[in-house]
Amino acid sequence: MAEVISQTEIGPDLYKLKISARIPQAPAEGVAAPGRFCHLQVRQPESWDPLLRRPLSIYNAEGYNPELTAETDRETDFETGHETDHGTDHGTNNERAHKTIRNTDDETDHKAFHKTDHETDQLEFVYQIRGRGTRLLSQFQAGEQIDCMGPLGSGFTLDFRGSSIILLGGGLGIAPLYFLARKLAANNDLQVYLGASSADLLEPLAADFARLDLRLTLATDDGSLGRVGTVFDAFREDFTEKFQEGKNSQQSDYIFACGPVPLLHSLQKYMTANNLPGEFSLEKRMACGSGVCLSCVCQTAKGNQRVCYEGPVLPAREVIFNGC
Amino acid sequence: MAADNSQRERADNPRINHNIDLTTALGALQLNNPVLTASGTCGFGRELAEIYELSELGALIVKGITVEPRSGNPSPRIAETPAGMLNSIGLENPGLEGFIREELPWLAEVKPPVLANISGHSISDFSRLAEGLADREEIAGLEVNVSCPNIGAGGLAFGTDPEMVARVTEAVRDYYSGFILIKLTPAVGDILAVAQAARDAGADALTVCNTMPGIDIDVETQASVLGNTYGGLSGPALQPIALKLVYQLAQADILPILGGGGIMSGRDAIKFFLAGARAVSVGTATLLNPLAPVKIKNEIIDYLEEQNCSSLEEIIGRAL
Repeated sequence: MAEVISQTEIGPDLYKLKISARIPQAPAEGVAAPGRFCHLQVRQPESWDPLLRRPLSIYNAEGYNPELTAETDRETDFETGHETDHGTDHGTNNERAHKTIRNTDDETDHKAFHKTDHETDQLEFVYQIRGRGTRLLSQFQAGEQIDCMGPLGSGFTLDFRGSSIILLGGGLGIAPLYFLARKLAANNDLQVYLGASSADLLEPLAADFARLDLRLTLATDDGSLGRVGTVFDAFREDFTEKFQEGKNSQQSDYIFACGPVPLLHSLQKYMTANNLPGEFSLEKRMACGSGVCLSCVCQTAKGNQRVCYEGPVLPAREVIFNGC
Repeated sequence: MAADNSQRERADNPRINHNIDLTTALGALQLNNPVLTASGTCGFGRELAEIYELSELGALIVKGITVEPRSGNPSPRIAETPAGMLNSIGLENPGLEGFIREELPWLAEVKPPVLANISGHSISDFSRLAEGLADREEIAGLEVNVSCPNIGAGGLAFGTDPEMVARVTEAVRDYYSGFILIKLTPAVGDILAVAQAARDAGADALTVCNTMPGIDIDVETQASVLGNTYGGLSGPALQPIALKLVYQLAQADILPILGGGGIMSGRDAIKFFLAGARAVSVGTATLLNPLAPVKIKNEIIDYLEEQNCSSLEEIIGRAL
């Protein structure tokens, strides 16, 4: 069980939920890494309706695996806004954060719980009310218990240093990129493109990014904030120029993106044409979150992949969007 | 390392020292405890084995296989319905050869009995699957799916016709001498006729029941939610329907019954035992919490202790 620390409405039907959850501390056992998600139970314990959990990607985390925390020497503490020192450099994490579930309300003995000690961790999620499940989620108040399973799935590659990295987020697809931006900003050249329909949605989603050491470009469909058009339009404008100047060849550009399928599909075509590597975080209707039911599969060059298990983050070039 | 863990689990789990006899049997298939995973909700056991010791389970019924590999149905594959869900996964599976090559070596290491679930579009598909799995010591038996709502030809159509159920069962029995479960559909007029046909054709036990065909419609798009239009209903919404079929079949005493349909808790499982099931399969509950089968097993123990029962056997069929 996790406890709700705060539930804040930060925009139109847009919420930031902060919980404290017991996350195992052993490496690769349920660590809260960028790109991973938690599966939250929105119904009351005595009810079976709505039946399924709701997956939310991790927006931010504190007090998780120290190896990951040490990626940046100095960073802003997300709660207080004060800069904090995170101590010595433990090196980079060379593998994508692993799957493995390890946190439910259950008292039942549990392999992972035996292997490791726990400490209280804080996880943040940003979500928008889209239906019954998210509406019920928005009604959880500080101090209430919430059944949070996770962190689950496979996250973003994090072993970058001195690289030129581009983040593209459209709409609520911005949410999983904040934690990633925090991890990568200190040691890499980070260019972040964030877009949404209009300013009232984009402003709260982009606010935390503005406090990090990165270059931020905003775009809205209606032009109410930043450039007019999609985040892909903005990115393409900037980079087509860059590629024409022949600056790309010696750079180690890498792209991370999350957003609506049409956005990712356009981006994928552009990345293929310009030989740009990267990763996409995908969203699918999901049931189990633990890899057993095959509800959330996505077609890829390697055959069907489970968004909850091999994903949500998959190599950009492998995803087949027509079947996704 | 594994031994260490299991010892620790033993020490930490108070229910390990209970005095309740949980053993049961489905015909010749002996089970250490009555809680099984339902096919399609536990993959081939690998993911759940990362979370708990599979020896907690009475048996595993692994993901349904077909002769040829299948990539499954288009998305969306699930829809949430009142206290339930529809799925139309479409039997995504590696096919018979893939199963034998990729999954059987792993399943050989799994401690509790493993039942393979087989599906087909034709009688000859079932024959080929039974032949391919005959003499495979890695598995303790076959669950024959004559009731999948999510594949075109065959599937559910077989399960609603006693004559077809008999022919499928015979086809499997011709090649497979081991334990055979026939998984029945709730979408049937006369369940007794179907069950008798399965028994007469050589089945050992019945799984009661599969999902109930259903549909959900999105009022915004004004179209079916599921990529494959129809799906199978599971979860608490299905429970009274499944329970009634178990009760009805147990009264007729045709074959031993593996009961299941929306079992979410130990008390739900108890209802199925009271209705005459000799074991239960847990499916949708695992999709909400992968530990559900273990939790349900522990709650069954709690109930039996409360009732001053020394064995599961004592309550089976008590409501009949």
